[in-house]
Amino acid sequence: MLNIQPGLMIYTLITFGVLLYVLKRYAFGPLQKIIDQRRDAIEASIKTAEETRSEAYRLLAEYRQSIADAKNEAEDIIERARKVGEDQKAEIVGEAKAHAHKEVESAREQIQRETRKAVQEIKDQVADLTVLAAGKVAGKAITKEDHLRLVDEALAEVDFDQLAAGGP
Amino acid sequence: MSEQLNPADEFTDALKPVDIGGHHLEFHLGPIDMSINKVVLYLFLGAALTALICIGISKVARVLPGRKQTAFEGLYEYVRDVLVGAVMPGGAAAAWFPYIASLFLFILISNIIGLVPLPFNLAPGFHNIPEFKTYAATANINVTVALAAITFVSTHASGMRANGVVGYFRGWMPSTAPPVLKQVLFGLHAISEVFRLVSLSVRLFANLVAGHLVLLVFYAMILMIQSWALAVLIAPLELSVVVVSLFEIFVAGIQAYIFAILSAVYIGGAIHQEH
Repeated sequence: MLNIQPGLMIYTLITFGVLLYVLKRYAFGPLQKIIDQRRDAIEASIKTAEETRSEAYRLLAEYRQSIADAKNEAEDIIERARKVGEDQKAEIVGEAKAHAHKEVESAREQIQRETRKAVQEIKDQVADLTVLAAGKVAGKAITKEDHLRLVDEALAEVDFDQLAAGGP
Repeated sequence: MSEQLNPADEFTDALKPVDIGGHHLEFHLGPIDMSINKVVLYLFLGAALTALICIGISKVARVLPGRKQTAFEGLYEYVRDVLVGAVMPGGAAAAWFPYIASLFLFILISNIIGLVPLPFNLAPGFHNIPEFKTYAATANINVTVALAAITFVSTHASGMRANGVVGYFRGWMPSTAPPVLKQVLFGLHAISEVFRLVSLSVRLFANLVAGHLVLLVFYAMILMIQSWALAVLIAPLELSVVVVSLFEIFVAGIQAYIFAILSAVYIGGAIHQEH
């Protein structure tokens, strides 16, 4: 059982030497290469994933900013439209007020004008009637100067302001 | 019949030159017997199977591994990181990994082949039906000594290359020891180095031989017992062959592991000496 056989030792050394070479060349080398490839692929995947994630975060922030900007802009537009509306409203109201005021003014002026005209006519008719009546009462003709003086005296007694105030 | 059967004969028979196809494969190289015998055939078988399995797996290896590949890669990375990486400095681990891994796989597969009965007996016993017998190349002291010798030479060669010849041998003596003791310690260390070679080879050889002898003794009992009554009595005992065989599978793995990791420890220790 313990026979020493140098031949067997030589066979062992040769066999193991060949096996070592073959395994190193055809088994461990290719396997290590594949393990390295896998490690590289995983590293690359992780790197890509990280890049994609940071890109996604960047885009998300960008979109959030855009939405916020759009919101602000919309609020701005609404605010401006509201302001424009209010301005227009104020303008329209102002114009209407001014127009109404002008109408009232012109109506008043017209009334005053008509009033004066009416008063003048009344004055003239009163003068004529007075002259006529006075002539008949006095039985004599009265000179033009007398007429006028008399009329003025009579008119002075009539309160025209009261007439005007009682008008429209 | 029982007088003829001696389990230990299995080991001496293995050293006889074999006949293949009518050729008696007995060769001599000067005084050295270079005959092809059962041990050599088992060596070739172990190496061929190791190479086939490893190359086969690495050939079908893909970047996305399947189950077999994952299992083999697990073994590969275990040898690389635990067996070699843990006991050697980084650069040396990468350089020595193929050797340690080949050693581990070759011894493991040779040990396991030893548990499979093969019709290697080329002298047919009964009606030219070949006998199935178990044998292991690693159960031969010459094989284990040769393997241990590679580790022995590698240890001192790499130690001298890493530390210089003088530096390496100076590392055998603790620098803090008194000068008188230094020579004694040097001698002790030299003896321990030789016994590493012996222990490495004898441990593997003896474990394999012991395991095979136990199994062979159990098998032989079947033939030794010529009485039916005794056979019935002893039958449950025969079941222990199963238990012993299972234990031998464990031994096959553990011995390959011990041989490989001790080789890595020895070489790693010579490269990175403790002072």
